[in-house]
Amino acid sequence: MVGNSSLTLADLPGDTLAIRFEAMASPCELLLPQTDRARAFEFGCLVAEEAWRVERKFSRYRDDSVIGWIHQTRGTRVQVDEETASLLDFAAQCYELSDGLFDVTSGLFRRVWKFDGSDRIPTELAVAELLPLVGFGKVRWERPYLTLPLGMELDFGGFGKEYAVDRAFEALAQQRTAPFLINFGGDLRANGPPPRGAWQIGIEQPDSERRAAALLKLERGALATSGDARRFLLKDGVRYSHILDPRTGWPTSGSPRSVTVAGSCCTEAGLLATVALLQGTQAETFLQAQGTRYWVIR
Amino acid sequence: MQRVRAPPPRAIRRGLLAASCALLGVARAKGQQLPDPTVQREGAAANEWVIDSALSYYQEKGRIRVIEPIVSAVKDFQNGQVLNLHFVVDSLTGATPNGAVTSFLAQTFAGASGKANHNYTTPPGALPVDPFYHDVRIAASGSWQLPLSRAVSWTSGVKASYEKDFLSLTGSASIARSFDEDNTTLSFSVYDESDLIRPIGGVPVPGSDTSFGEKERATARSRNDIGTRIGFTQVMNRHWLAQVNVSWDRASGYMNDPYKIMSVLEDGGFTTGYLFESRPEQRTRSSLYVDNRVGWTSQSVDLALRYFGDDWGVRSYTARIRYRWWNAGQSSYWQPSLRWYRQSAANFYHPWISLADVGTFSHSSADSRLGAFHALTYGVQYGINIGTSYVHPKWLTVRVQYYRQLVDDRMPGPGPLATLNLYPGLTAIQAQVTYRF
Repeated sequence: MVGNSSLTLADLPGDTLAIRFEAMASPCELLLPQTDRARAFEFGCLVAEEAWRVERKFSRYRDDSVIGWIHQTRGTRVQVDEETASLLDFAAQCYELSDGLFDVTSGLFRRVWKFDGSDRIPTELAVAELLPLVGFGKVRWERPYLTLPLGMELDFGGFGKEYAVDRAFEALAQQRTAPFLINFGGDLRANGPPPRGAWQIGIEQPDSERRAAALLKLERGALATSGDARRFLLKDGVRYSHILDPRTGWPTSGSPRSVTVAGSCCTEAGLLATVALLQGTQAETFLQAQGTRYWVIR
Repeated sequence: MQRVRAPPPRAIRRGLLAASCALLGVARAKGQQLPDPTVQREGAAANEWVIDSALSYYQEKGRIRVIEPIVSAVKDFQNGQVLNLHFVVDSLTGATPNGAVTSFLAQTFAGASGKANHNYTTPPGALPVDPFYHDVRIAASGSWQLPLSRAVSWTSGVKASYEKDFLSLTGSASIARSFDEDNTTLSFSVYDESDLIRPIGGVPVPGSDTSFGEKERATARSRNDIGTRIGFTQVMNRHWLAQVNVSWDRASGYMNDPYKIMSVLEDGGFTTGYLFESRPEQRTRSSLYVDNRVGWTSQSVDLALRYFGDDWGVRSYTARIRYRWWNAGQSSYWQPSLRWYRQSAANFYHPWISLADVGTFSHSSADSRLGAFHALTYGVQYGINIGTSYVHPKWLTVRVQYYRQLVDDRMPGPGPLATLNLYPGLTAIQAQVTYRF
């Protein structure tokens, strides 16, 4: 099991129980209105197990994960399981739809970009050296066979948390039709409004503690947020955001500090939010073209 | 370093949604693959106005009628600031007791409240009321809440009220701090109210005989009221909220109702004349209010108790219970309520003055609102969300209340007045329709 695998139960106003746990380095919770504690705990276990399962299976930090195994077999053609295949299909579609802006192979740039608030900007050479090793187009993917070229990396972190929300949602929705909300570190999805009113979601101001920048009401559907103002580099008065354009290896200029998007499912919302960040100054224009609700903090 | 410009935005949502559906294996589901998300900014909490509009109708049996349109608006900015505006116009018409006692003879009075040339006559056995009472009150108030830190907020407010013979201005400030994850809130507020009373036809000399029409030299008098309140709110558990308020205020200045008079009776029950009332020029009031709200999924109960006391000798006790019952979809509710109230008389309250006592009281008033009485209010409220969703609730609320007041300590009148009902009490109904959007 990953990290702290304990569940806690908390009473919230409005006769709602919160089941909380940690997964994917985030606080996670399941909100259940009008549910007795024993049932709530059962549902909480179901949701947490799914979160932990997705984390275990696709973590890039674990040698025994599918990602770890793919990295160990770089350069060879391997057959992947159904779920991994679906995720790779999805990654391929996102890469194509976003004109290469969303790329599951771009994690490699982390080797030269350390977003720790310092002024350590990598040299142009260091970035340029990595460019040949980034680009989903260089991956040979013929379902169910994958060949990851030597030196390249695969990382599902760009949609892993959102995917886990949707997986847990589907699992729980089969057992419960009454309203519930799943929230993994701010990416969330609800199947319907609580008995009185709607789910109230606060979007945090990125740089202030616990201060809500906006309060949203969600009946059903998903919300996902991308962006983190605390991760940046500052040199000569220029702020380098951690939003790297995978096609250049350099930070996108003019990215919002945070983008929140409503979607039918969390994976969709999360992708839109991430791609919007990568649009830099054009984030709002992009989001407008999508025809969904969004909230941008600059 | 090469920099590639971002491509012009294109709509990728459809493709993304299809990809997501395929990923999650929901594409095989029939019909609608995934419902569209329904989400918005909360009305009250995100740069949109929430507006309450209401029309209130109040009718006392045989007496005054008040029609009152009310508009209030709340805007909650995203940064924790809240702006609150409130606007009321009252139109009062009808008859109001002038303070004189019922007699076995007809009584004629010079109209006081507004129309000095209207005299009126009260028939024998009837409570004297001024039938020409007419007034319009316009009141507006606003408050601004400002967060000082996550747990501390500051609210400042102003209020103004205007009638043709009355002007009132109030400034207030309040600081609130929450503790224990907002489960506990402690607040402290102060206010300062300044009133200017400019009676039609001048300020009567308190305690003087009405027939001489003696007026003070000043045409207007003022009153100042400074008060404070300490509030404590505690979430006891997820079903129970408790609230305690302690308040204290001190008013000084002109307290009289310039149009209220009192009868002077001789031992045989004859009315020999009328005096203007004369109240003390200081009043210190304090009150304690305790409210408990207990709620479950489809019902809630609210029980409030209040004690009030002042240095005029008035003590009052209020108990109010409200029960709210929601329908299964939480889209409508019924709320019956019952309120019981009892007050003791001010120590200078006399329903009339006997001739022998004229001049012996430094203060006196026959205003029945300062007498001893008890009252019951029966109410029922029905609320329904006529909007189409929980996200945009549009609440229509209808409330009807019936109020019955009974006078206590009914001192019998002298002579033949003993056979008359000198204390008719009061019944009133109030109806209000509110629409919140």
